[in-house]
Amino acid sequence: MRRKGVSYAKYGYIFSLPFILVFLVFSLYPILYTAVIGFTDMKGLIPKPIHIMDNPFQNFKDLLFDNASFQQSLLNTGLLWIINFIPQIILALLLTAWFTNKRLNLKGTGAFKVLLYMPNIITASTIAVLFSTLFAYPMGPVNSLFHALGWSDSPINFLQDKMTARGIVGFIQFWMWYGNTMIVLVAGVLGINPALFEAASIDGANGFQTFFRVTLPSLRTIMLYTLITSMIGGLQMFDIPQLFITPAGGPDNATLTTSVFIYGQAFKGSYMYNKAAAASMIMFVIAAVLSALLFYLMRDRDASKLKKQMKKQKKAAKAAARGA
Amino acid sequence: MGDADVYKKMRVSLALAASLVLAATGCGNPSKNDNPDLGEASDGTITINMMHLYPQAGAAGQYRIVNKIIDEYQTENPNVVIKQEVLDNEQYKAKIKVLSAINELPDVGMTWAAGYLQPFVGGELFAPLDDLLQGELMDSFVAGTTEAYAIQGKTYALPLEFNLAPIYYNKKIFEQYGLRVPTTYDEFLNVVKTLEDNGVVPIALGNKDRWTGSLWYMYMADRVAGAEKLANALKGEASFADPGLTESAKLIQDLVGMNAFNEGFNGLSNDEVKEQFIQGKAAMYLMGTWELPNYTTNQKVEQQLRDSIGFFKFPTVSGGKGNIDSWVGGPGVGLFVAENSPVKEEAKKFVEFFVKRWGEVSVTGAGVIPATKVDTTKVRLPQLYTDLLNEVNKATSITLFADVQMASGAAEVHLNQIQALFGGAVTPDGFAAEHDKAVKAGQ
Amino acid sequence: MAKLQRNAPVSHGINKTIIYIVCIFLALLSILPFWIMFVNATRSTPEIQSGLSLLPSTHLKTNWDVLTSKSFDPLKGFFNSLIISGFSTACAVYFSSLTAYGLVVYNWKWRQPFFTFIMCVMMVPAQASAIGFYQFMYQLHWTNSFLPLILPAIASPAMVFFMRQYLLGALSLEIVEAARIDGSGEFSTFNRIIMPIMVPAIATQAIFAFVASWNNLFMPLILLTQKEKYTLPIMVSLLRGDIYKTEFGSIYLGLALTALPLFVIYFLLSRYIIAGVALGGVKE
Repeated sequence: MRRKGVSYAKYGYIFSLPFILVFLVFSLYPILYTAVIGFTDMKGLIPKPIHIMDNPFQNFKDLLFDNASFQQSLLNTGLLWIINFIPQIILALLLTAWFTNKRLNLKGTGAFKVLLYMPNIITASTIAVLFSTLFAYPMGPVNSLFHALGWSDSPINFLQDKMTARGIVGFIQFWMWYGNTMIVLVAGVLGINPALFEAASIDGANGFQTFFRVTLPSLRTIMLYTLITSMIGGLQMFDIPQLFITPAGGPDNATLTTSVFIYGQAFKGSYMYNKAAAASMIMFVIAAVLSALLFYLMRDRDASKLKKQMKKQKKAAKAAARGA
Repeated sequence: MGDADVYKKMRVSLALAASLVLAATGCGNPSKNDNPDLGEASDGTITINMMHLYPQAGAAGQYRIVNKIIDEYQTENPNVVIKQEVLDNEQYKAKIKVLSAINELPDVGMTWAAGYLQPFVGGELFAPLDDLLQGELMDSFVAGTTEAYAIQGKTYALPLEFNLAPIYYNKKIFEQYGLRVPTTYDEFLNVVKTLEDNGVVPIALGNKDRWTGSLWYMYMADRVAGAEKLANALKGEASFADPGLTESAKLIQDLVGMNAFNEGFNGLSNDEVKEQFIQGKAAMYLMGTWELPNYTTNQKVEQQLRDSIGFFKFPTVSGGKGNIDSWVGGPGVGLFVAENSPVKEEAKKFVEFFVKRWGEVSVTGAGVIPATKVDTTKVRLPQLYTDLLNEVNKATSITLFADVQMASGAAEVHLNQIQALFGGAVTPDGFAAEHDKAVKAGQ
Repeated sequence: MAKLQRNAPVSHGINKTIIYIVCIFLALLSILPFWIMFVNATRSTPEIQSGLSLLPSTHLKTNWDVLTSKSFDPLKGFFNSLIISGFSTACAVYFSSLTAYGLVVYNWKWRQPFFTFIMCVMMVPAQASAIGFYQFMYQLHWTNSFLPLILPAIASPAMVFFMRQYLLGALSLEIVEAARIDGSGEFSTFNRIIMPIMVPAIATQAIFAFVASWNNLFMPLILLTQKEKYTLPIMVSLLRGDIYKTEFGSIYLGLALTALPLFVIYFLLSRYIIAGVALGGVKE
């Protein structure tokens, strides 16, 4: 049987080489270093000799079962992620639908896209200062506004109350990133074959139908990216919780996220690097599990069915070749 | 066949990459201890790396002095080159943490005393400087300053700054309402009440940063329970549940309840309330002597405003164990020499020189009180300085700021508790319990 | 069908108005903090501390003078930041596209494991692995150099992920086949044909990468030691001082100046995202 042309597989390796090299040099060592530290008793500045602990998983166990702060931080991270992400993805999808809907023909979508992305450009520290000023107690602008509108009769200390503190931190994250998500989705839509849209409009589909039947399915690959990066970003939420409410962690640890916890373990108090490393590894495992779940849920069912069929065919062909 | 070639190529390049990495780490690795020549070039020039936290933007006076001293040293020692790295306070702290974690501290740097110093000494990062104390600098330090930098009998840094915390007050406002400087707490409460009745903010306090409130608590504790009891509690040798200490916590909450502080104080930063005081909108302000330049020499503040500020000592509480000459304060930053510095001896010489010269020029040049004794007769100083410096000589005890004294974990708990205490979110007993727990935890 | 058409204009009208209102509200919400920041850059420190204002004031020149007098060399900081951010963005974008292309188009044995590996790298929290990185750089004596700030960008897992997803959705192998038949080598196919297809993706990620690198304070802070190499964010952070009065006016001006170049880059690149040109698919 004639060989089917030249195999270009080697180019896969060649094209990936720069990434691999740079990664090996700059990232692998630090990550391995961290992973190993999680199993040791390293703490304080500068090792006296580090020992692998007798029970290597001691740190992990302690964190998950005995450490109330860590447990609280897991809870907070989840809560804050929900407050931040659900509105974000809904709004981003909505905006994408509006801005890419040729029928609707909105004017000024260009300007809107530009403006709505802007919050992503300022640094978290600046945003923290600006929002602290906005929500200042007792007479910051928001308090004055609420007062004027009659929504509250006495000034609310937003940053001291658990629920509002969480709400604001979640809101700030949402505000910073919804433009980013929208831009990503719009870029994805720009990659969809315009012929599909033409076909849909010829078939008489309206806005809704076009969006749900044509745009979304074609966006699946990009959606997966958005979901996963938002999930990972949410798990690693750090800048705003750390900077916005001091002391970091908020009233009664209400805004303590896992990354803030890790940073606190490593750089405050008695520099417990081993706990910080162990917590990082735990977060990594959580992220990996959730990502695998997302990949599974978003898999291209047609493609995987096809793959299964092809595998069956190959097997049958092999069996036939052998049997016959 | 072609594929086999490719795989071979792959394996070769991966092997090359790996060896590259190893070579890189290998070549760059000689730890400074093995290679003492690293700081000394072949022509004999010695380079000293110094890191400090006086940026020209934020601390112009100190910046000038540092550069002056460096220039003087370099002129006297032409074979020495001193390289500066300047950061602001917060960035400096962050960077030092990372540098110490990777054992790459600069030859000479700045540190704080007691609790902050502890982990560095534990990690053997600082060189002991006792030999310098036996030399030129013998007896030149204010009592208690070098002790704060000593752990188990060895001194690990030489202090540059020295600070006390008086209560600054606005003389004009006091005059306006016929008030005299209070010497007892009851008189003080009277002052507060009179001011309040007349619609003037009695005390400016920005407790968002928490250490500002800590000053109030410490003085209260000192006056009621006595300096020794407070010191012991901070060290863990006495309990915070001691009646004197819980009484102080209660008195603080009473003061808050009297509306003695500006509105919203628990959420305002120190910077924000400083203005209020200096603009004459608040009558009193408990703060460190580092503020003195603003009340004396800083040209950016109107002369009129500057002239209206005076100070008094925290009043005594009747029945309390503390006296009026007991202060809260202590050494500020000090200079350390890294233990693994390749130019340790030269660095030590430099530090000795620096501390001596700093003591001579810091008051006039930057308005900062040095940790070395100042002869007020020899230097012409603004009145506030002379008065305060004389107080320093009279002081019966100086208790170091709690958040500096305690280990960083406990310090953090203390600061949070202070905010809770001022905010009414914890009872004096709860306050005591949390403190004992944190101090006992030992970190 | 006719019914649909008849109702369409009316519901369209109402829909559009609602949409406009929502978008304008969001736009205002997004601009608000910027506006405040720029306004504060024109106000003096006492004004800023007395409260928030939406109206600019007249102290721009004084703030500028304070800024430049404090040995704040905005030009130097600007160029340092530009070099670092520019090169790292270029590296990240090009090599991520290259790697992603390798993952999508070629069928090689370790393709899937490698992709899984890249995903895993993305999931390790940054805080903890930072220490190892700094230690490594210090041991290489690679401090006070721009290289450790630029080179690691070549391996950007999140960007590779995005490019891969984008290519999966937007690229059809027929183009590549067609190019091969035309005799184009693999690299030139990538550079001449594929890169243009990826323009929206590249523009998007370039903006993100540039912004992230530009605003990055911590890593340059740790790795750079001499004033001449300081980036703009580091210089702005040096403006703070608790010894004398904190000059908030000049700080806000510094922050505004730091954000300004980002706007420029963003406006330049955003037309590749705004443009309604869909560059995917094979022309049929």
